[in-house]
Amino acid sequence: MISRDNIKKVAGLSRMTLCEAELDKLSGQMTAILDFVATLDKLELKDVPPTSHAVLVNNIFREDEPCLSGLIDDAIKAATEHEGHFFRVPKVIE
Amino acid sequence: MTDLASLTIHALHELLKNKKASAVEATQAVLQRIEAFDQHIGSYITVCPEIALAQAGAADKVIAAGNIQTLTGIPLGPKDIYLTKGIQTTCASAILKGYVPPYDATVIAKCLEQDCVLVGKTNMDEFAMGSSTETSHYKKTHNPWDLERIPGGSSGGSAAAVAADLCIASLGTDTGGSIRQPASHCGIVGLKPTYGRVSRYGTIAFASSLDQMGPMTKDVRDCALLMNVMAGFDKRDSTSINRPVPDYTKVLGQSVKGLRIGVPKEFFGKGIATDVHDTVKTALKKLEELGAILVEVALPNTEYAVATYYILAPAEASSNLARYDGVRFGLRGPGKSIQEMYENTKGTGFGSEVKRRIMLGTYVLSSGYYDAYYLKAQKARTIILRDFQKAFENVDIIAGPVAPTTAFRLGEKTDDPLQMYLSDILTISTNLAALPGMSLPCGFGEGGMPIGLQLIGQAFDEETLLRTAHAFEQATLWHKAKPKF
Repeated sequence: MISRDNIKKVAGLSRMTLCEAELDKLSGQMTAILDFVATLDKLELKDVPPTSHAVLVNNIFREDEPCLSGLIDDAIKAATEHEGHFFRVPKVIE
Repeated sequence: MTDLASLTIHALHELLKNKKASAVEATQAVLQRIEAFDQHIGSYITVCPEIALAQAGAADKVIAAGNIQTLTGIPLGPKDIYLTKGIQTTCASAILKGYVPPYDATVIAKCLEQDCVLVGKTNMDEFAMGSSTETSHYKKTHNPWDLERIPGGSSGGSAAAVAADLCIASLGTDTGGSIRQPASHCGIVGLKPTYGRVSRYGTIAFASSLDQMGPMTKDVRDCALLMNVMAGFDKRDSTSINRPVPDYTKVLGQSVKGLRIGVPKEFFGKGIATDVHDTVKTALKKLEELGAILVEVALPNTEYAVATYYILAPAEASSNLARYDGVRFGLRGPGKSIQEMYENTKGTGFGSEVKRRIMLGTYVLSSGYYDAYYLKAQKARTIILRDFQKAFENVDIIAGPVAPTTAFRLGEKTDDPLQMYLSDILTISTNLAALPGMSLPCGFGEGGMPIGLQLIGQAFDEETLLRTAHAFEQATLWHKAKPKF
């Protein structure tokens, strides 16, 4: 069983507030889901390599040349608060 | 006169080319149907008549100048996960309400280069997390074949819109079955291409190693035509594969004589409803009559696919969704400190399924649990991939059902996330193995609900899927059936 306190801790790591009812509900639901995914314990996986991408992909490199996106004015408008070409957020450094 | 909205891409293209209809007329026909029927279906989050009619007018000029291409003047209703410049893109989340992207997703840009028409953006599960389109913040989508039932998900709005003739075709996305399962439930054609075949650039990310974009259409020819436009290398997507794109229509009409079709016994076992089982078996017999050879194959680790997926996909999602912190776009929650602002933004902006997956993903990646969950799931992914590799040593494609049952009732599984997750059991392994998978109509089950036949191909062999699907479609004509609502 994943305790309510544990759920609270994970919510903190996720930077996400959860109300009391959500904490209760998630405690039961996550326990059920994690019990279910524990079926993987039945597999013999000791010598099996992990797969992160099933198709072989190599990172793509390009010359590091600066270019203009032309999107700054439009992109900045999507922020709730902005000033010039900057996003405004609550004070970070005291 | 034919209702222009009911046409396929290729049928409407012929009318446009021969000046028997205009793009404006076709767009008006689609918009009128949306106006009349979408109040019952709920397939669109956003409808943009002004933009659509302007695009249609421009398309008519292109056609008059003799420069028509496949999608010129064709009204499309892409899933609301694709960024569309100047058109609200929400991913069905409150956190992106009112967000208007400054650029187009690569596949949208490719369609617009051919002067297609965007009539709106279709409903989906929030951030594509769901199998019924019920997790959308905005509305429920109803299955056009029975309005009391779900359309499937997460591309449920797209599937319902195509089935109900509220667009000519749609573009969906598939992370664990989100194109194929709704296509099956709504009686349309859907293709999830090989991972890397279609660019993911500008499409809102859910689980980046699994997400793939694909067509949702009224027939197999349309599916091939849309693939011709969508597929191809994109330098802006680091996992896009640089290999030539064939003309996918070339294989249409070719025989399936001698084609070896693998039938995994695990796809017909416990939990598969009788109507689905029998209908898909009949479809396989039809393919045999057409000259294909049915071969029994084993995918023994199918039962582990859902567990593997529900570790990997939430883990990737928890990382991808960290960007919705209220700083640069979307909703911003209140907060005196920046941390409080982040927490309130996510707490109020995300719905319960999205929160559940972020929590699961954060949990399995958190200190001390990585080996027990994430690494184990990555290893399980290897053995699922090996199952397919072994099966494909002996067959050309694999076939079976798409989903264990026909579309279930609205609300039936919303309180039990695990049951909802298990409805993806037959589609998820294809994503884990990065293979192409397709759903096409193959009959009807209890209550007249559509049933899809799933075809799974080898990596980058979408052509064999399309060839097989086309041969089956032309011999059965299940795709011609239309819902009455």
